[in-house]
Amino acid sequence: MVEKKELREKIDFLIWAFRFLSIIVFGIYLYSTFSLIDYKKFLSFSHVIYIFVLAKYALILLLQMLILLLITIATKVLGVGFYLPKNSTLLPLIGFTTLNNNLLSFIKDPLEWASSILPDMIAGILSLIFLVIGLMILGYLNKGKIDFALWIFLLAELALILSLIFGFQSFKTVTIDNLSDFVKTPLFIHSVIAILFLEITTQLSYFSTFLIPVKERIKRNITLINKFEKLTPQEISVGIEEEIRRARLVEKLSPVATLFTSGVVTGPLAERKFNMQFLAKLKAYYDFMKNKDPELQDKLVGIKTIPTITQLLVTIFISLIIRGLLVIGLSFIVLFLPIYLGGTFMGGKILELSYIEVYVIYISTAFLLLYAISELLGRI
Amino acid sequence: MITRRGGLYLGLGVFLLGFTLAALAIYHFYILFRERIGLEFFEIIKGVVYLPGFSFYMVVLGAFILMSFSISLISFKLSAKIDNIEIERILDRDRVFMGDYVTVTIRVKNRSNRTIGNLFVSDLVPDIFNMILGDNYAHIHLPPKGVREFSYIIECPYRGVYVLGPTIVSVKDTAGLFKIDHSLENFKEIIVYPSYEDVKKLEILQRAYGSIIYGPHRVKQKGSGYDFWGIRRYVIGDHIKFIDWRSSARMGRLMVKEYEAEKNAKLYILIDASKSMGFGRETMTKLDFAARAAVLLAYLANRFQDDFGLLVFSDNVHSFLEAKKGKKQFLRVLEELAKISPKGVSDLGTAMRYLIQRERRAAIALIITDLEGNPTYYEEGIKIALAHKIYPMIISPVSIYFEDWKDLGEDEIYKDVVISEHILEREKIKERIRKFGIDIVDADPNVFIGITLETYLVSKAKNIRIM
Repeated sequence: MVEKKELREKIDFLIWAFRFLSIIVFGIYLYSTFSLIDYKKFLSFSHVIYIFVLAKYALILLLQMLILLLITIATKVLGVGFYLPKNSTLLPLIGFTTLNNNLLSFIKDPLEWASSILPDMIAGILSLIFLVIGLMILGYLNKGKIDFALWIFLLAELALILSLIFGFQSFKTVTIDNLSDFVKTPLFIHSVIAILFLEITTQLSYFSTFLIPVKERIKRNITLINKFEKLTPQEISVGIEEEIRRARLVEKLSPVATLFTSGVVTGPLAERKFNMQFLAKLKAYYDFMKNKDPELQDKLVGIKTIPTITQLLVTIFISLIIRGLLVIGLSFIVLFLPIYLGGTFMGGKILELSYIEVYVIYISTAFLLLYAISELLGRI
Repeated sequence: MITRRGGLYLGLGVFLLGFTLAALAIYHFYILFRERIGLEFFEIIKGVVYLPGFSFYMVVLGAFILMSFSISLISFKLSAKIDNIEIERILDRDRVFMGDYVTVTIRVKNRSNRTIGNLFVSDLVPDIFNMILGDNYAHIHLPPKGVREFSYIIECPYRGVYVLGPTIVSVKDTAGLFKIDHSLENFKEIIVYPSYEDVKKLEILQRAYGSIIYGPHRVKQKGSGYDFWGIRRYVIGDHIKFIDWRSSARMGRLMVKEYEAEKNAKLYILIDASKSMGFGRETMTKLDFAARAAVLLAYLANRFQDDFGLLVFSDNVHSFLEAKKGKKQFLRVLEELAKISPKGVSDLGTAMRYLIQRERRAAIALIITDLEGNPTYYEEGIKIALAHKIYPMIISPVSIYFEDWKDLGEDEIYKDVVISEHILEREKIKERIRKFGIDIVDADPNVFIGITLETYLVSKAKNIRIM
């Protein structure tokens, strides 16, 4: 049987050790991601404000639509036709906000205004993503759930894509003519790190799956076990007397209380009302069962369900090796895909891709996409 | 089945791969039809596609993720087979008294030669039970041919028959991307007898104050016992060994000696399980009271080696146990008491008709009823009983002592009216029953043991001479 204090300390140490490992993996992955992005170009508070400005203007637009709708209904109902310039419906709203050039250009043409502020808006979104990723790292460290890691990964990749599309990348563009050129690109190195990140966080989260519930279980059960294990028969009898005295006192103080506590001391309900009686009864039963099964405490706190540290480490290690080897092996096959595509669309010199093959890839991708969306919608 | 996490993982891979391939598709479409369409929008797509390394990167990353996903799926399909998992539920006992504890141990065994890495087992427990120690679920790592165990202790706070199970088994892969849920229909019944606390209390009282049980315990009648009963004239058919030669000489005619034979009493506990008996506080309805009183009565009867039986009724007979003596009979009574539940309306007449068909000899009937049924049925029942040498006595739980006062609201006048009306109605019924010379004892849950004990002893003392 494992000593309770020793066990709790051991589990705490392991959980923190694995969290520390996670921090290192997170650090490497995020460094690799954000070294590809020139964050100095967009990471500023003024850009975040654009998001809020956009939200405000979207609200104004919505209200404008509502006013227009009401006016249309009103003219139809009253049967009176009159001409109202569209922008004049905004007049009542302008009173609530400061009139500036931004607002004026928005009123003039919302779509043109939106396209003019697009780079600033994207910069704002990227800044927000940075902020959310930071918060999610804290969430992962606290709960140890892999879902946080996956969302971090998704957001980081989205940030990378957006920054590449809108020209926030920090690396110089290179021309790719063959496979060896591609392997040398910073994006390829990043993709390898990303895969490693996913695999390692998955394995670390597997570890938390066992340890965190056991830790919670120990906290809940050991407190109660300690409470009644320490009790002596003398303490029990003194405790019960004290509780009976308190119940009697309440009855003396209030006749109404008598109504509710009637039967507490002598009646058939007596045995269920006192905490000390409950503990004494539980202690007797627990001691009896423990004599029959010396491993009862370990079974109650769930120690018997988790693997030993060595078993766990070996499982993680073997799993990582197998998956790593399979991913590397299969990646060689996968790399032919960009070669085909590169050959066709990038003016490549390696291989030509026939139209039929391209369409097969498109259709299968579309199916996969539909399947993934339906699965996601089913879960949310 | 793909988990939410698996869906996210798959979606990510497909998105990265699909995004680039879709961009390429649009671009391809543009190349084919640019002369006819000539839209500027496709220039943006062209820009994305031509971004050196970008589309390659997306495809590779997407493919990597999908690859990892597929590997997990294959590995999961190979290892996660529900048939390889054997689950056994072990109870330290399946028959307990109300308020007692039960330790449930779940033993999970892996029959296969592969490790089942991420197994979640949850054993369903009826809500009415209190989880005292441990949890009814666990995450388990099962090595090949390995066995893992976890336990929990539950408290059974109410009388009844309950079912533990099913056990829900969920197998996930290491990454938690896929899972198989399965429900194992391994039900196990727990019978919770009414509380034994009253019997324990009675035993403590006995030990503290000596025998508190007094009065005659056995029915005496003439027969072949050892105690002298009397002398009478010889009649043809008397055995020659009973002739008292000394008295015969003195009287001048043949006289025989008679001896006293001791016979145990026969007791039937009749419980009214009509709907009105189900009212009261959650922890002590009138029916719960009746069950507890019946336990005590059966215990007493068993102790004095009386034959005792049970009849549970409302407008029909729910269960019947013929009067017998012994520990086995006591356990049979407990089992029946665990199962009783309130339904229908009270009809003592039907119950008595049923009893007299099965019991031809004299017996005592201790009826536990709240007297909230049709008075005619009670009268009819008593008439039938008396006509067939069944001597009844009634223990009647008084509703006003059992009801939860909160249900009647805050209005004191209203409460008073309800209580007075109830008492008046009750008195009328009692009056009609008392005409037959039947005793009715009003029962209050707070003076529980005394009432039951007294009823038993009084009933025996009163009826024993005429039986």
